[in-house]
Amino acid sequence: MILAIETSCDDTCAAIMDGDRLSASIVSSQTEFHALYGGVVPEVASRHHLELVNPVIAEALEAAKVSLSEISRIAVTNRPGLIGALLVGVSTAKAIAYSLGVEFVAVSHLEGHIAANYLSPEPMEPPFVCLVASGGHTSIVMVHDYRRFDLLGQTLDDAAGEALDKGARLLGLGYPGGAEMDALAACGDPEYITFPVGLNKQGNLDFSFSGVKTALYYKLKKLGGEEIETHMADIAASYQASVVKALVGKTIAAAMANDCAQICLSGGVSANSELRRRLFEACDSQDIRLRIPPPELCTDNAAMIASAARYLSAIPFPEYLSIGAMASGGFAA
Amino acid sequence: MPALAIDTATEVLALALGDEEHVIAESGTEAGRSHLEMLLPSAQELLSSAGMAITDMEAVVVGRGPGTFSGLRVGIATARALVQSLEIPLYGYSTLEAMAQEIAAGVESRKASWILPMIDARRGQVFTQLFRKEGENGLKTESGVLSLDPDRLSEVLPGKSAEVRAGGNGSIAYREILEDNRQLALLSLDDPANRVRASWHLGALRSAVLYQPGQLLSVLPSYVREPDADKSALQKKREPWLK
Ligand SMILES: [Zn+2]
Repeated sequence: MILAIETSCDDTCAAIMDGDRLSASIVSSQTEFHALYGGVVPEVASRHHLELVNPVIAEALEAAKVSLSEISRIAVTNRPGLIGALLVGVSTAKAIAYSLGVEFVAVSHLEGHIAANYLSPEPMEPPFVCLVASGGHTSIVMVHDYRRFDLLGQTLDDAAGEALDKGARLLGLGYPGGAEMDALAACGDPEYITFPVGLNKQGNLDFSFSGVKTALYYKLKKLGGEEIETHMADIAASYQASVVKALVGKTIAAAMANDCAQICLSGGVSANSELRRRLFEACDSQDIRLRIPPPELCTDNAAMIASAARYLSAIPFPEYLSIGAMASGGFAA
Repeated sequence: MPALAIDTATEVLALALGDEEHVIAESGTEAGRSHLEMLLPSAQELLSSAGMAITDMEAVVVGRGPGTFSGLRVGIATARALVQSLEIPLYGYSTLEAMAQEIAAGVESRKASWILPMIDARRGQVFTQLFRKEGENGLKTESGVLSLDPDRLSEVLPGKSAEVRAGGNGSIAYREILEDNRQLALLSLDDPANRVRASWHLGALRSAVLYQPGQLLSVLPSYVREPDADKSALQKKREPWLK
C-alpha cells in the first residue's frame, strides 16, 4: 500500500493506493489565500503546507480506512516546484518512511502528471504523447513505456496556464483568471484579433508565451477603455485561441513525428474548453486517440504521484535519508 | 522518557538525545541551507551512536525558532511527521531561550545578569529577546520576541548602566553595528555559546506538551514576521485601461 504526498505548488495533497486501486485522494487547495495576492506567494504556500500536511495525510488514511502501519511505501514529489513548498512534503515523507521503516520513492511532478493517465476510470497504456499544461509547466513528453520518457518540448518562458492567468489579469478578470477567461471567451470571436503564436516554426516543439502576453498588453493600451469593454469577450477569445493553437499544433506535430496514435492530456489547463474542443477536432482528423483524465486527476493531486510510484524503484535505506528537493529537474536519473 | 530534540532555526543543525534528567548524546553540525539533506542522516547517526533506534523515542522536542523560515520548516515538518507516525507526544522550545540558557551558563553563578541572544533574521535584522539570569539556573524573560534592526536595540535593552551579555549568530552577522553599543558585552566570535545547542530543548520535557497523539497537530514555527507579500500589489498593478 502506497501513501503519496504532493506539496510542489499551492495544493497540499495526500493519496493512498492499494495495488491498482486508488483508495483515497485528498487535495487541500490554497487558491483562496493566494487570490488575495493575485498569484501564488511561495512563503504563504509553504506556511500553509506545513499547517495542512499532517491533517491531510490523516484525512487520506481515514478515507481509505487504513492505518499508517499498513503502508509499505511512501512516495513524495521532490522536483520540480517551489523549493520551500517541496521541502515540507519531502521532510514529512522521509520522516514517516524512517519511523515506519518502509520504502521511500522520490517522484518527479511531471512524471506524476503523466501517470495520472494510468488511473481509472479509463487507464491508458503507453506509448502515447502527453501534453502537460498547467499554471506551472508546459511540456510535451513521449511516453514510450511506464519507465521510459523523452521530453520533446517545453516552455521557454511562461507556462500555458500562467499565460492565460496573466492575460486574464490584463483584462481585469479575477484570480485565477484562466477559468474566467475560458467562460468569457465562449461567447467571443476568436478571430477578432490575430495574436502571434510563439515559436511557430515547423519542427519546433518548444513553447513561448511571452510574445502573446506582450502583444495583448500593447493591443489593450492602443484600444482604450471603451472598445475593450465592448469587445472583452472577443479579445479574450482571440488571446486564448493563440495559446491553444500553440498547444494543439505542437502536440499533434509531436505525435505525427513519433508515429504515435495516442495523445494524453494532463495538468490544470486540460480543463480549458477551447483546448479540449480543438484537440478533439485535430485528433479526430488525424485518427489519433485522445484521452483526457477527469478534472480532479488533471489538476495537482497525490493520486498521480502514487500512480507514478508504482513504476519506480525505492531508494534504499539509509540513502534516502539524505534526499533533497529540487526547484527544477525532470525524470528519474 | 527518551526523546529526540531537533533545532533547525539557524545554520547549525542541532540534535540531542536524552530525557528530563540526562543528555545521552548531542550533535551540532554546520548545515548551511542543507537541513533537509542532513537532518535525518545526523539523527540516525546520533541514535546509533547511543545504540538506539528512532522507534525507541517516546517524545520529540522541536525548536520553534525564530530563525530561517525554510530551516525551521524542515525541522518542524520532520518532528510533526515523526510524532504522527510513532504516535508519541511533541514538545516545543524557543530557540532564543535555548540560546539564552547557553549564554547564561557562561556567566558566573549567583551574579544577576542580562542576557540577549540574537538570531540572524536576514534583511538587516535580528530576532531577539531580553532575558535575565537570576540565581543558579533561573532565567526570566524580560521582553517579547522581536525582529529588529541591530541599531534599534535600545528598544529592548534595560537601563543604560546595565551590562548585557549578547551572543548568537545574529551578534556575529551584525558585529560592526553591535560593537558600537557600549552596553553590550558580546561573546567572542569563536565562542561556542554563539551556536544553538539542542540539549537545552530537553528541558521542555518538564513543561507542557504541545501535541498528544489523537489531537489536532497544530505545532508551527515562531515566524515573528509576516510573509513578504503585498496584498495591495494586485490593486497597484491594475492596468490604466481598467476602471
Ligand atoms: Zn502540476
